[in-house]
Amino acid sequence: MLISYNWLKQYLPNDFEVSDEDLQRRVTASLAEVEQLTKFGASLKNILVGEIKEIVPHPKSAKLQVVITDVGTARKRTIVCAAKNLFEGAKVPVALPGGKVLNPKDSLEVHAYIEICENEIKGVKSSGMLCSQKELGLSENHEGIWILPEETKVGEDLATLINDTVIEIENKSLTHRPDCFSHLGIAREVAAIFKTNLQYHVIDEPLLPTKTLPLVVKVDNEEYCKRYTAIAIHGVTIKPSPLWLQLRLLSTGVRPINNIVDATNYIMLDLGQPLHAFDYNKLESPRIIVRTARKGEKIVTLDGIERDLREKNLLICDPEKAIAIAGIIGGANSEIAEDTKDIVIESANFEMYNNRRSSKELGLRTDAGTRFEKGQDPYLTLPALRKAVELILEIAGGEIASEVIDVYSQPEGTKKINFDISSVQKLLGIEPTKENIINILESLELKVKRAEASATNIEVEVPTFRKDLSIKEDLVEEVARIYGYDKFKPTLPERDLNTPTINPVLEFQRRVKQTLATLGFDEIYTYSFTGEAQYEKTLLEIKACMKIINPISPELNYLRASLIPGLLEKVRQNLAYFEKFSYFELARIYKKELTSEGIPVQPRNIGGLVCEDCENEKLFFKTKGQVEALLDKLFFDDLKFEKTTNISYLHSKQQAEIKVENEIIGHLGNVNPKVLSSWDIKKNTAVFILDFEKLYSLKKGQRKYSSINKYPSVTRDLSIWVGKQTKAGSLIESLSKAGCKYLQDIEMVDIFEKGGEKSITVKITLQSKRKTLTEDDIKGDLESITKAVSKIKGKIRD
Amino acid sequence: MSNLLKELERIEKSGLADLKKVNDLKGFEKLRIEYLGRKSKLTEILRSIQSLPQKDRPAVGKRSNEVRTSLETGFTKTQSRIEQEFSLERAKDIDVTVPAARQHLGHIHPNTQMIWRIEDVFQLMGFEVFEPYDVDDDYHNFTSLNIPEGHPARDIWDTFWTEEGFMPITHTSSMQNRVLRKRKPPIRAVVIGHTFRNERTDPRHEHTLFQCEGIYVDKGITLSDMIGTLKTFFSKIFEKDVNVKVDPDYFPFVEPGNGMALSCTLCDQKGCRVCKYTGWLEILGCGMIHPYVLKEGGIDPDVYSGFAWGFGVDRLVMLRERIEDIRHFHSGDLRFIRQF
Repeated sequence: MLISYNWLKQYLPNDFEVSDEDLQRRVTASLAEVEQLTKFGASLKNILVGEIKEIVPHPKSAKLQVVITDVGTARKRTIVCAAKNLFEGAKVPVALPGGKVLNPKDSLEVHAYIEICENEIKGVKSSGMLCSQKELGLSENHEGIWILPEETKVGEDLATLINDTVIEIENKSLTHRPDCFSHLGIAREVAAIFKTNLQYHVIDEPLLPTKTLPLVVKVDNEEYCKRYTAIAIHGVTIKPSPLWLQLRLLSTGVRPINNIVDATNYIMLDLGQPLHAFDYNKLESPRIIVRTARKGEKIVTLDGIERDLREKNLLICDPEKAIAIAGIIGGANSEIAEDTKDIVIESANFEMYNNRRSSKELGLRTDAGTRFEKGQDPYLTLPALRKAVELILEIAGGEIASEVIDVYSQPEGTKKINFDISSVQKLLGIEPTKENIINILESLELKVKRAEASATNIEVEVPTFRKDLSIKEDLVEEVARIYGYDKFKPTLPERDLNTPTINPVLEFQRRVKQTLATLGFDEIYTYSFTGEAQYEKTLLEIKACMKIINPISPELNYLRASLIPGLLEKVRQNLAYFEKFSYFELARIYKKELTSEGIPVQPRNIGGLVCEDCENEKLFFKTKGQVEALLDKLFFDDLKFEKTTNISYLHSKQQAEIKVENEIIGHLGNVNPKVLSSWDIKKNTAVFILDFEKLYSLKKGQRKYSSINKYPSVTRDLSIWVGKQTKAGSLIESLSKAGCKYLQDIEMVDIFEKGGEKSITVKITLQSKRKTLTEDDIKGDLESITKAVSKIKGKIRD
Repeated sequence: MSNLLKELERIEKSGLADLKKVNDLKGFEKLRIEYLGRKSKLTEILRSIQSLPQKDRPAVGKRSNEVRTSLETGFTKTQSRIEQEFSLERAKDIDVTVPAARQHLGHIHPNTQMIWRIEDVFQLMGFEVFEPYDVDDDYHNFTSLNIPEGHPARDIWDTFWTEEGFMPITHTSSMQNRVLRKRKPPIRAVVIGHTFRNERTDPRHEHTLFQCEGIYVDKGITLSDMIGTLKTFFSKIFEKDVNVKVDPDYFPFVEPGNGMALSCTLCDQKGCRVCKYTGWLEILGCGMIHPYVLKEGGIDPDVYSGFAWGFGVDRLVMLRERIEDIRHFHSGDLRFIRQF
């Protein structure tokens, strides 16, 4: 929202003056952040109002014309100009030689000025320049010269008229302050902040009609339309607004349209009350009905768009048709046009929740909607209507043609808060005096009922425009911000020596991450969002994923149910810079099923990826070795890898499930070549997925310590012939269950196939904790092993 | 006989002394011939033993053998000494400036590193650390935080919605109600995790961010305590004394509601591009927990008070590491990750 300093000053004492820096700093410190401060016309120079006396064609150029202009001095000025919208008698801004205007080639924010000098354009001397709005820094409009209102005085110094300071405050930071969506509201704050008096008085005199046009208002839905105030005016003349009004609107970012529309916009920016004016003679009959939309009803709005209405959308209607969407936008069918003579001005109060819902349903954000959805003060409709009528009569002529119609069946009362002023100290840790607190509240126009001097409780009456104040904490905030946060002294709370428990899940995560990093994996984060294309490429079903109804982009319209697509997506880009790499992500995936608490199940997974130019088998075992190392570091001993074929994104012959204590905790394998090619990955890639939640539930805090064995160990390499189908894992399992007395370890040494057989070489380690092994001990164990081998139809090579 | 014994003594002494001086194999060989060779004095003495009177033989014989053993030991030691020196001479001279194939260790994501740092500092200050759910329901993300359905305050967060009516959380305050219900005052807790905003991305904006929210609830907790606590925290994070500035701001779950800025850690308030020459970095939203939120969490606001805050982790990392583009964090670009 843009706020003009000149405009604010209308509500402040004549001698009030504050520097730009102070204005920005102190409004930020006590109300809401001033995001930007813009100087309007600060560097404009030598720009006067001129009248075009004569336009003649340029002797040498068809595109140019020679314009004779009167700027109030004795000598008429000859100016060469290319604009097409000029006519004799037009009032225009004229920059004289030596003057400064903005360079229209740059955006307004650049503040690049150019200086005007006298020069010759194709043989014609030109002493000055006619200006567009953009050249004066008023808007981005550079289509043609700005035609000023007819009554503008020739010779007036435009640079001085434009000169203003405009501050911008983000709407969001005033969400709770509907009163501050107006110059009056901000002026009230400025008065309190700078400890001066607001110059604003509500006038109660009735508006009396001097002519009678029939007008009736019927409110069908009083829940959504809390108050409807209206008046008819007869005989207005539609024309451009006077210069001062246009300047006010331009400096606060509103495009001037005509005097009636401009007047309603002006009052909205001034007091915060949105108004709507419509053509009285375009009503079917002079009967205004406020009702909700009928099923299938449509309306063409002022912007020319036909809109489908929903049943809770509140409408302003005549007996035949809708003429406006209440509190949001007017209809094209009752628009103020050049030939409009009689008008109705509506000043109403619409309920905030319904207004906001309608805005959202229609996808339509307007200045009126922005104000109503914050909850406007119903007591503002009358003063706003009065001010609007006065302004319209002044700038558009006409006369009041009806009584003020005011439908307000359930008037709101004022709120009273019983305020224990010791809560200021309790919540803030500052100690302003009671008088100080009362002064602050009163400076914001809150009414304080003073009890006896010693009482700590005061009764505070809240004005109706302060919708945001209802509990004592709200008042504490008022005191805090006007008192000044810069006066607070930082303190530290007193506390006991109790220390928190280290979160064991986070501790476990750290261990996982640090171990993977030690194994050479870089940690990455990918988006939680995914899409059909990603899933298709990975041969996964998107059905498992929750869909986002308002995605950031159409390709990211689901929540991931697997980390794999995200991991694969990052391979190609990294292959452009690295020959080989491995990375991991520890993050949540999202399922459609719900927890007992009723929110989606979202387990953390550990996903790892290894990309390297080596043959498949080597890559598989490298990855497997890394997974084993990770699980070893997490103290898991009972590991098993079992062949699977059903994981779609993995190579059907090179994949396994990983089991800890016979529970499946994840998968690993080489990526399915089809998946690699759809991701355009030209190097072998392996991945693993571990279910972090399962790992955590099985986790061992530590491994049982066993003392260091002081007796020597004996190792033997055994080469064993087995059938081709025999898995190394089952051989090792047979050996470990062979009944050896001293078997410590079995280690894989070599494996190859020859003919129909497979040779597996293992290194076995025998050791006792009580003695040095004798030849007989060793022989005994080797015999057990031989027996076990022959049981699985293998034989030990010599 | 005593002459012979003296001579043996002399041979041993001079032999061992000479061995100490020799540095090359040639000299060593010469000495070996001189002391242990067939024509050496020691050999001569050994040969002459038989011609000595019977009574002198054992003593001279014993002594001669001792000297021979002592010299032989000396020669063996010296030989290995010289050979060692000789092999060093022959060894390859390594060019230490040749670049080595560096062992690759993985890099922990800079955000994770910052999160660990934040967790550690807050734990030292007595805070417990929680994790949020990434996807939560309306009650926890909004309603329990005094943001009723249809309220314009909901526009402060650009929220994603799933078809089922859940949302990727817009702030980690989604855990506030659960923490308040789970713990008894004094409650000190921080919640760090992913948050999601439906915002178009550019170098300063991301739809996926990390946030740290925290609360402190006890008897007599004030807004001045909030300022002091956060000032202490940020001073530890940035390893220097930072100043903080508090301004009003609006968040429905705090009252009063504030924004907090830190003195610019890059220019120490001299003015720089990062702080837009203001000397201040706006970094977090905070305030005193709204009584509605306390009540909703089962805490009596007439007895207890507390403050809450939230800040972006990514922003802190960007400030600390001077990272120019927030989109690097979720890019999966190893050129980025491997710098940390």
